[in-house]
Amino acid sequence: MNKERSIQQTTLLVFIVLLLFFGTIFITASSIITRHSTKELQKRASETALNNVSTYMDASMKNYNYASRLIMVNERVVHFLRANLADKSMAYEARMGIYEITNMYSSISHIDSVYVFRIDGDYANTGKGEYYVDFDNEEKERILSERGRAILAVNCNGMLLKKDDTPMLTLSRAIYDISSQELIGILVININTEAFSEMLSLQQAAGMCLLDTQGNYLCGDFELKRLYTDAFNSTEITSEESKFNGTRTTISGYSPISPLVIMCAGTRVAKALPSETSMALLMIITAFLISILFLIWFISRNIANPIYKLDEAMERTKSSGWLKRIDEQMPNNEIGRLAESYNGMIDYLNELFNRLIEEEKNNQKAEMRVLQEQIKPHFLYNTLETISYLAVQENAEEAHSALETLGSFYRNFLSKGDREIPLRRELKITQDYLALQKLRYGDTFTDEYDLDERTMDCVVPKLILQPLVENSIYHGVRPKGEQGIIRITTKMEEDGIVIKVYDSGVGMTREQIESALTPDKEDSKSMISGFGLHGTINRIRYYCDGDDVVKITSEPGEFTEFEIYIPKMKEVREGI
Amino acid sequence: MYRVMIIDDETSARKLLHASIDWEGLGLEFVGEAASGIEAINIIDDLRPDIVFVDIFMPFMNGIEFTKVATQRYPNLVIIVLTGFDDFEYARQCVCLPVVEYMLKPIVRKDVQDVLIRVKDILKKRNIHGQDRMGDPEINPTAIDQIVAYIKENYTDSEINLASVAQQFGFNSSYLSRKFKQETGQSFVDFLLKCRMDRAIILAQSGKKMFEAANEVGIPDPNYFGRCFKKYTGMSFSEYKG
Repeated sequence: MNKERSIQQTTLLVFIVLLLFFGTIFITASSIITRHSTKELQKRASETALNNVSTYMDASMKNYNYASRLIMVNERVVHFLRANLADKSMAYEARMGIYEITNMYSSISHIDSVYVFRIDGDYANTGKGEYYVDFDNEEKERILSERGRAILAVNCNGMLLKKDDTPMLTLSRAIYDISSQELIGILVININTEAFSEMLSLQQAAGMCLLDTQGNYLCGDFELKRLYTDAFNSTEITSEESKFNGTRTTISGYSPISPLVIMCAGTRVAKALPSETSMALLMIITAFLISILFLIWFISRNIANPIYKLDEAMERTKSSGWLKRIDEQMPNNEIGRLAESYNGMIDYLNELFNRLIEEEKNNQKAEMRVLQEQIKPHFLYNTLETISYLAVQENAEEAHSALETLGSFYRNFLSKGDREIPLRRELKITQDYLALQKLRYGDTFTDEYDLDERTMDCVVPKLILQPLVENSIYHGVRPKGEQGIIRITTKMEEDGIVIKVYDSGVGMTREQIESALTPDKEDSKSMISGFGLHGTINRIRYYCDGDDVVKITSEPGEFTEFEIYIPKMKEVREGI
Repeated sequence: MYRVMIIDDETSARKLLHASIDWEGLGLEFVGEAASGIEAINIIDDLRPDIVFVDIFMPFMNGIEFTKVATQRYPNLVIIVLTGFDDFEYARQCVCLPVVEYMLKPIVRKDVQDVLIRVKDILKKRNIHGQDRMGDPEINPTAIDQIVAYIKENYTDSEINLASVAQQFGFNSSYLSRKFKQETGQSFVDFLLKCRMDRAIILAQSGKKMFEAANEVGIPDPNYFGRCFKKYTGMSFSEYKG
């Protein structure tokens, strides 16, 4: 299934395909039924037509036969036949006799002419038009061989041929003398084939025609003659599919009476399928269509729309950035359960998140506790006080003082973890540090201070002086081996303060100074280990945001002086 | 002479402060110490200090709570918070209270002296000498009976003391203290303690644990309770139980 298609669209598509499928089936089926029944109907109609014509022909032939008998026994005809050869007047009499009879039938028959031959070939005739007469034709023998029975032929198989080529149906028979039973002549009745054309045209057929067994046209639809085949010479009705007047149709034909063949082209049937059946089929299709529409509506209302709503609600939840429940009213079905499951999942997730956050908070608290314990060594302070008390009890005043200084140093050194402190406090740290160091190293150095009171409340980065002083002791004064001076000077300037740390120690070489002043590329590393000389300089540069805030002047063997320039920061008062 | 009291749960801290400052030289009198806020509340009526050094982090009643209770009853009391906790939250709470100074441990003598000199100036300006005010209502024996009944009924309240009772009945606390002793033959503090200890003895006999008994009689600090009990009965609580 295409992912981009919605359920609604897919359903619609499926139903359209189904509809097309059923429509095609319907049309095909109905057309098959129609064609089949059309053929049947055509065939039946054709048969009826053929039978009608055949019956009519039978009846006609009976009439003609009857007429022939009357002519045969007509006194004047018999007289002519019994007479001698050259008695012309008798022929006239005979003709009159024939007329008597033919006139009787004139209303019902289409007798074109009647010929009565004597055995010697003389003949009397009635009728219109002229004929070629060929008495000694093979047909004469055939007629005679029938010994008085009437036979049908076309143009008497050549014995009589109308001069205008109009085909004639001939009824011939031998005439025997009633008393002597001797053959006295032959009677030929020429029947105009038009006799049947009216009957042919009366039939409900696309076309009908009358032929002889050779396929010669007698009357009716001339076009149909071209479709003649030998198959139609059978006495049973034969049907063939063929194109007639531009339409495919059934051509039926047979030969009810030798030598005649009747052909019939199937009629066009207006309604092959009963209208009720079509109607019913149409109704089924309509009902199907309506149910599809209903189904689409149903799916859209009960499945697609709730899913859209659910999707929208989820989307809103997503875009809001919070894990919110879906408050949308959902139908109480599978989709409702889906929404419920989603809400359940959201609740669970929220719970998990809350638990996670809680745990994280607890972890942070725990970590904070650890850090606090490291930053605020309560134990250290209390122990220092306890030892101080012991010192006081023993009257060890120096020990008490030293412990007090140590306590003060650590309190300021560790206090709060501030990054910036007032210079007064920074100085206090340094002084405490120097006091403690003096306890260790005795008279190795003296510390001097030249302080500008205005600078005391200025804020400076924490622990910038102590490391410099430490450096002065260990790399300046002590290596020199004689008593030295460490002097801290502060001075207020227009937009900052200048702090100098001077020591009368061994001094620094140019290379040492350059090395100390080279900015450290790996800042983060130096920040961590930033309490040596190099690190401290980097730290001051970082806080003051400039490379030229630290200067070192030195004369090897004489002195070293660090000069720090700190731009003015906010002033704070010590304490609370 | 201003009277100074120290409240700290650490003995060495109390002793150090006591020993390292030249109180006399500063014109001050060190009148006593307490190991907890609870103990301080109980003895403050007897000691009647003008200046109190108080540690923040103490069990049962911390320095902040003590300050709240104490300054409510003794509005002129000068509180100096002395703590190892360099913590903003405590500092903030102290700012809300009438705490005069806030000092960080470990103490430095010079800092303490500086602070004390400042505090003395403040007290001088307020003109407080720890003397009785005059013109308070007369306390007759009936009032004392009422107070005795009140104490008997309310001694389980850990925050009850001379000042709170005096406030309750509208008397001056030191006048009440004198009058109480005069009428009943024992001090207010002793009477309150007697009520509590008598009850504690009953509880001890019933086999209560010490910290439970301490809570029940209105001394939620079992250390202080234990000392009081021993002082009162001559026996420790567990010995008494046994």
